[in-house]
Amino acid sequence: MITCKCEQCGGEFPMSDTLRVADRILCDACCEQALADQTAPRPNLERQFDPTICANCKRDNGTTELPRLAGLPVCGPCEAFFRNRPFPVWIKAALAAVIVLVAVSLAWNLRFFRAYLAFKRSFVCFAQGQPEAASVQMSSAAACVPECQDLHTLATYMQGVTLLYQNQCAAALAKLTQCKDRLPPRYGVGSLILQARSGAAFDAKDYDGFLVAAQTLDQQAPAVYMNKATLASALACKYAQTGDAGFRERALECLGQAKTLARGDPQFQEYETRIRHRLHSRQILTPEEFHERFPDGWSEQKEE
Amino acid sequence: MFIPGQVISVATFPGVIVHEAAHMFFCKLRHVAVLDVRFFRVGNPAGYVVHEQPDRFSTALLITFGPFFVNSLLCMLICFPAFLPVRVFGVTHPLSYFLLWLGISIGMHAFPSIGDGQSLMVQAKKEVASHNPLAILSYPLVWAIYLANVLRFFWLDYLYGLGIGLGLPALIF
Repeated sequence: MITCKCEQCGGEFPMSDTLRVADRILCDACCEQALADQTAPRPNLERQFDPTICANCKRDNGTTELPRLAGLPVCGPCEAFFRNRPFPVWIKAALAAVIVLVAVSLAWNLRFFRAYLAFKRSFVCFAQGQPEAASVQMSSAAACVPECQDLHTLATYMQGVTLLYQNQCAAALAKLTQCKDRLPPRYGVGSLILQARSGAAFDAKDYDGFLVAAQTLDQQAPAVYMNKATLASALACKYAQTGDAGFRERALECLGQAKTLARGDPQFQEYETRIRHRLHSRQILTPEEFHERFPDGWSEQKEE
Repeated sequence: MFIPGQVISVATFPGVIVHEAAHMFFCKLRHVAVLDVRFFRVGNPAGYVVHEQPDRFSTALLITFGPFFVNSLLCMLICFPAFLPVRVFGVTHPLSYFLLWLGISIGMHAFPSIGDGQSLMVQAKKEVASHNPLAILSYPLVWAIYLANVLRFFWLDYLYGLGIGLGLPALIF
């Protein structure tokens, strides 16, 4: 240990118990006296460090000076501690807890990731014209997150579209009606409901209902050829049922307009043939009956 | 809305702890002596790490900016499992909200503090004299630290936490 003499009182003190006050070495008591005068300007103060005493553990190294760390005398074990200070146990435990929490949360929320993937796949399938596959994926997404009402509505919507695609119009109507006012307008639920309603009316041989639904569809979107063709189909049914030539005339007019709008769509050509057969024969056949009876197609010329 | 910094520190204390732990981690990584450490306290600063001056400027840079990367990464990791249920499916669960609080609290304390910036600036000034290109490049970073700390008044730290925790996953999903 190094001792110093206080320049004020002349006493001998351990160096660590002295301060440098404006270039004078003072003991603690004399320093307090020197600072007691509040009116005098405050001098620079600096605690003296004994280079033979460890600043951390206070170990006395005799007369040999200790190496300095960040300007402070530090013994070997303390330097080793500072250089490799361990993290407290609670920090390690907290880190482990966070890792476990994240892992548990990922596992706990895995169903949401599955649902999200199925949800995305569903839209891809739908865009590729595979409504059945889209419906399966969306139903799977809805099953993963049963508490999400929007997913259930979308699953019901996809089921409705699939049923409509499969010509099961009454079942499609029931599904689509459940989605009414629950999806944004871009999903076209209103129009799909009308399509399902017209199909269901046709299946039930309710040709008045078929005509009303077809007229509403055509009023809503007159530029869509399928709407015009559906209206022509409904008018043809009414002609077949009543024999009223007015219905026949209007059906042919709508068919002509639909043909212009369809621009050679093969789906329309098949539909047109069935309507022309209906107008020619006054027989109302379902698509299945028509294909069974005329596997090689039908034309007015062939019939004559 | 003005909320005293100490209240914010208490409400987001995990971020302070992670920030200081990250400083200490990078000190240990580069064998820089850590003289004192306080992971959290109610006061200003809310936490600190006192370490010796690193020999190399790259070490000083790492110690200053290390917590930025550690806090940001942890924020993303912790918020990620809660993102889908809360933001995509609207399914609320206390665990999800706990994760979001934890993640955003950590993300909020990603920015180096003014003190971090000041100690880096001192070192950078010394190194610039010896034509260290890294030190010259660090000047704009130090100014960015100062600016970020000024913008804390306008909740930049909170917005950063939100952006990292919820904004980034929104770009993926």
